[in-house]
Amino acid sequence: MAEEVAILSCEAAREDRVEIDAELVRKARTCAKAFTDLYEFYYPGIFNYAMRTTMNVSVAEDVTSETFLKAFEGLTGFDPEKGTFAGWLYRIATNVMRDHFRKRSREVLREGDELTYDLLRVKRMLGPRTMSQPAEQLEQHQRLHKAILRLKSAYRLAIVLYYFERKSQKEIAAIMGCTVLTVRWRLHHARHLLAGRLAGNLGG
Amino acid sequence: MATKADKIHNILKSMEPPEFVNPKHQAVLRGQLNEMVANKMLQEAKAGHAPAQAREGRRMKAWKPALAAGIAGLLACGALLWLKFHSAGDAFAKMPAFSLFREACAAEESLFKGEGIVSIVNEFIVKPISDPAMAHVRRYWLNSLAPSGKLRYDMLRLPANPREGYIVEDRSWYDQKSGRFARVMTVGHKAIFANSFDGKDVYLLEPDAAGALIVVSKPVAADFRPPRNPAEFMGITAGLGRSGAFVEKKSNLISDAGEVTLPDGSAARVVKINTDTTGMTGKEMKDMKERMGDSYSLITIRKTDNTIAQVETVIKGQSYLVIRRLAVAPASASEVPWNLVGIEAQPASAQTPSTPSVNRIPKIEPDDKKTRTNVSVQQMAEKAGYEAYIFAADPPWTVERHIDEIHDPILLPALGYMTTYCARDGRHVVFAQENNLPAPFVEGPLAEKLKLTVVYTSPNGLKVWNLPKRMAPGLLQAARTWTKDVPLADSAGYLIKTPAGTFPMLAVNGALSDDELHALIDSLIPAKEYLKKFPAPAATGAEKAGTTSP
Repeated sequence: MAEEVAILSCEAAREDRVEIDAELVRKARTCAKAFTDLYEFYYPGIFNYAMRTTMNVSVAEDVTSETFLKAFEGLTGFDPEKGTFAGWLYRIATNVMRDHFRKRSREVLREGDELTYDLLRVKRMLGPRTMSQPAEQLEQHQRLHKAILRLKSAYRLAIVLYYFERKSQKEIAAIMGCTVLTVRWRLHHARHLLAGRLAGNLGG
Repeated sequence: MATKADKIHNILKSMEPPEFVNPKHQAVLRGQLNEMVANKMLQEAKAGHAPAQAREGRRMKAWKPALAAGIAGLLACGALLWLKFHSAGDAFAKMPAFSLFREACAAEESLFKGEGIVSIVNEFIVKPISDPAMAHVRRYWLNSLAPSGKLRYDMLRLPANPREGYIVEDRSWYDQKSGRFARVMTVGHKAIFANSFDGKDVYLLEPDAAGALIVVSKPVAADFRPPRNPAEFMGITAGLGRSGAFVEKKSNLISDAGEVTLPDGSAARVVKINTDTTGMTGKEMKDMKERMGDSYSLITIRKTDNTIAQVETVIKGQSYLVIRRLAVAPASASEVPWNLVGIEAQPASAQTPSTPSVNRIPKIEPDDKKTRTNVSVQQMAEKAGYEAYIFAADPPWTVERHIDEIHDPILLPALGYMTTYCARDGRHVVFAQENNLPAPFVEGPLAEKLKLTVVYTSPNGLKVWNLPKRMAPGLLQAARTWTKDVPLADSAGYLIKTPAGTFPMLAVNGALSDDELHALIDSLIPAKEYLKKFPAPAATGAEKAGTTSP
């Protein structure tokens, strides 16, 4: 019963958010200031998404600001009938990251390109929930995250969106501009790639 | 292999997604966004259409831009002809407020770009105010040039007894050719502030060990470059922010406030600059309004040449400070005190709680970010400019500490510090301090208004009042970047008077027993004392920059 109530209230909150977003987008089309409300709400999610995908602070900052700039410029192109504002924003961010990877003419990060959890801990950039995890668990997660960063961008984005951003396969398909079947295949293949690369390193 | 892939799936499913949100980046990105939005608004205002329409325009086919350019050219010619056949006064009257202010800033900058040496005289009129608290804390931010070539903030304190006022004379000289300058501010012919550059050394009026003001000269650094835009620190709008950048970023704050006739009979227009609440949430804006009331600046701009005649600051609906331009004239090099020789400084004996003075705020430069996260105790102790306090031992139920430095030249006369102690059980502790509240105000009208009652006086001389329930969540809200938790409605809040005369605030996200409160207060010590007990390790480059704490 409690679970049902939780799910229902979660759904209600999501619907409320969709309505709020639609209203804010409508206002932002004629009043730029309204856009800052959307930014305030979605900034942490997009910055986290970029960090989880690149583990590079300056790239994540660039991706976040570029995403919001593109969103601001393209507000007329957003159709609430076709999807949520959050999904649209994630799609922009994904495309910005793809462009970034393309410009760097390599899709796979090399050793040393990204920051480590330890360094981020020193820089006080890990959130309290992440920092409070047991050291052993955090180490395992970091190994796994590092392996994810070594995947090609299509697999990496699918894994990050599914497991870190907690998006459904349908939502990922809309964000990545592909079919649900493709998403399913990418996730399946990515898990196998990770299992192969982390063989003997997963503990337990 | 399938088993291993399933294992990967299970680990990923159970994995708490890593979080990387840091207030420093939020500040950087918010700054970028604000700039972007402000620029867009400015462009839209210039183009006279809404963003959606602007984009429609961009969708024109390839041939259309040429046609549009032609039409725009014709319109521009038409506008020029129209302006030619109408009086300059009409154009002046119809110019949008932000454009007019921009013109005025450009005119102000051009004062420093002429041939030869320019002499500028302003007066700061400290008007009588009946509210004793407001009369006491009146201040103005000055910029002075350091030997490094960088500008730094100095705080001109302009206290007065209630219903009393006075005038500060402000004289500046600038030689565009050599970059030499001198600025002297006097009250009754006695200097309270002076700063100059004679081509070799930088001179400043600074207090000696006994508190008497003396001229101190320092050779400039090897990579010293005189400021490119002297209006940034000697201009009449310098206290409002950097003039050029200001109008670009804050155009939405500027509005028209009518026309006036100046004392010399000439016509002028007034533009109003509202308090900047960019990036503030509804709650922050409400707090700001409660604190600042109806507050804005009025800039009076002459019709004849778009120069600024006067800048008036209004706080809570009362005229707080008027800066009036008295004269701009050429000067000869021989009459300028380039090395401040002959300046008669205000004697230490003349300094009373109601006489003006200048406080040097150490190490703050105009380019400093408004918030630095995770500064060290040492940085706080050295930079605060007042006796900053910290708990000798972190509250026992907390697991990590963050000290954030807040620099808000409009609201705070000195740096503010917010120390957040995060707890796993959500009972976070926030300790915020600055040096903004005068004791007569706190212990008088404020205590009465908030119905403050003393709940504890510690053996180490700290006095504690409880704060109304609504105030603690506000403080905890400000620390949410670290705590991530929504403040509880029944969180506890306290106002503390330290032996140094500052009034820090303490908030706990939950209930606090008397024993816990007493232990916390008894543990408060000056940060300098804390450093003696727990010497800081040698700071790394990153720590010096204020990104991490020891």
